[in-house]
Amino acid sequence: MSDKLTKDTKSGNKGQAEKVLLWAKNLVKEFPAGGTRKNPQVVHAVSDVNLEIYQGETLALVGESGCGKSTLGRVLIRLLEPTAGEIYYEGENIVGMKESDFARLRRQMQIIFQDPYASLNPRMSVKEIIGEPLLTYGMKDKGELEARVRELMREVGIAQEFYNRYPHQFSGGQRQRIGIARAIALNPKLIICDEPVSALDVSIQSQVLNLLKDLQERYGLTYLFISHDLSVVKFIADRVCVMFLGMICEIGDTDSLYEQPLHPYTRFLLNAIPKADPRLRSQEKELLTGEIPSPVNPPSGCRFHTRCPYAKEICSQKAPEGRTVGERKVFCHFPLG
Amino acid sequence: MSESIVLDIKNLRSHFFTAKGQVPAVDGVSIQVPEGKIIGIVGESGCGKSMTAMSVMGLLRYPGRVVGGTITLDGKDITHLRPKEISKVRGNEISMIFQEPMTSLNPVYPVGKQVREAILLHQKVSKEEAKERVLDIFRAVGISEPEKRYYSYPHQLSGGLRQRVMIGMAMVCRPKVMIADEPTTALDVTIEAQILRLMKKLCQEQGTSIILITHNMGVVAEVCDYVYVMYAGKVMEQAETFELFERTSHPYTQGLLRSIPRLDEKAERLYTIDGVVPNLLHLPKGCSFCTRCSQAEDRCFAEKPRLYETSEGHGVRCFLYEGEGKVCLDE
Repeated sequence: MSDKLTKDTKSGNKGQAEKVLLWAKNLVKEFPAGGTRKNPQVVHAVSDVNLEIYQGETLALVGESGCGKSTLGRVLIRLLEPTAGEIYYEGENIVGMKESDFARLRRQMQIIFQDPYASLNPRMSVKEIIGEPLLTYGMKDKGELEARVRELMREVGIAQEFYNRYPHQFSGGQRQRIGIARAIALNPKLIICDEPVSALDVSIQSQVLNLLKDLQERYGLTYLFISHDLSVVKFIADRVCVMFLGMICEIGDTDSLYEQPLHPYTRFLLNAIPKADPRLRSQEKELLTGEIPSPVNPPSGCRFHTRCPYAKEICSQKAPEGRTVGERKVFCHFPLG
Repeated sequence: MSESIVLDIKNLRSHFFTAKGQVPAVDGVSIQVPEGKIIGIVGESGCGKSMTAMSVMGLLRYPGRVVGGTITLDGKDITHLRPKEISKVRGNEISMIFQEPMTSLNPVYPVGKQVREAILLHQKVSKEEAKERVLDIFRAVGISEPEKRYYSYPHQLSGGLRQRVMIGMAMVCRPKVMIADEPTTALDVTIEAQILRLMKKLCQEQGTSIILITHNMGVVAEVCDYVYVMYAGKVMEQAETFELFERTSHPYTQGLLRSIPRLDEKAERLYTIDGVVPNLLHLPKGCSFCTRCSQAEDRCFAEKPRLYETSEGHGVRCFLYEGEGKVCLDE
């Protein structure tokens, strides 16, 4: 691996010093899923995840539905309480922190949701939606509030005359811009982008992705970008974390991970993407067989072993330890390459 | 395209009659489907790709109506069949699968019985024989343990399995044409790849033609033989898949392809098509793409371009190609 890659990985965007903004340790999130009192069943949404997010970078969480990527995103900013584990934000453990203490940190963490139709209150106008976080955090002066809301609208590319309009008067892309304006209103440090462009058409998707990149540059934002679309991730992310069934498979620098995946799952995921070039048709390429196992009864050992063509005996018995290969970390007994 | 044409859609126009005016959802679309081929219709939301499919299936309901053009299936005009007649064709000679495999199956019946219903409706066979046929098709679409799955309810199956059941249901009467409306959009990539491969295999084995409706250029490149690119109710460009990707001609298609983030290169910024899809009620007077086109001239705002044929089977609806195009593919 070249020196340049190594440096990029550690320093994130724009050559800022390597500084961990958020750090998760042995994070677990389980949801009750019925069963009996003696034998309760739980969904293992996130199991024993260790993760660092560096200041100013874009870390992408990728994986198929049900792999726990959205849950992890929400747990990290305490929209959901973790079942076990610790989360350090700028060195402070925010798990179990009193709500009154947490309030000053909360404004530094925001989230953009997937569905621009469900995430905006239809009975609030644009000025109310964007102004609400400002009001909550004590901007009382009406003139100041209007000026700030208008400034935010300009930032995200919503025309000024839409100040008093309601969400139903906007298209999906414009609504997503409103959601972004709301998220950056309080000058946060960390934004969780939960599939922000999945619901948009391609021509609109590229506009929103460019906007997110511009805003990051302007404000030095840190993104946790949750997505199932690997081509979008390739464009926006500095580092990628691949998840399968609540566990991390592989985490590392975007370019090297795409070039040479170390975990078999990462490779199958990359292979499976339909590429917009008929010459790359995948008639003969290897495809993953089978379905995703249930997170209620995840397979023993390595959770991927039931679908993995390279699985050996040990894979079903022992969960793989993380090994460091260059700047990357892979959780597999028999990493590729 | 000299192969025998199974489904021939000529100058189809489907409009919606709303309080605000007449909405031309499908406005003069001509599509030819040769036997055993996969035809792709690609476009963004609201471009009329699903409405074209609904018109063909005779599923358009008030306030929508087919106002012009003909749909010919295997030499038979099915444009204006009465409900009783069209229901003999639908599901039998031409079938459809939808995007949402959860909402298109009935939640209170086992999936096997739902597929069996399709057979009993169209063919004179006993229930036992029909069940055998269902189990056969379940095996063909790759459903493991078909006997057990026959009695499963939709909620007990994963998204991929449900979509396999839908494909089974659509294929069980060996239709001539199957319309697949965004069949893999709700699925994960690894499952999507499996389903696409399955559709391609069935198409080759049974000689069924498929109309694949999608917004994903990657899916088009992966499986389609011939592609129609739609925008605001009209076909903007049509060509064989390789031709379309190698000699992309229409500014809209070019923009569409350039705005997709690519896996093989790292871009600093993505190309964008400015603006949004125009309101179908207030379409520009000239070319419907002129308001967003970077190469638009005065003429584009005043006159409607026709579909010019630049090389054999490659049509482009843009004045830039008027000189090259001797023949118009429309009309």
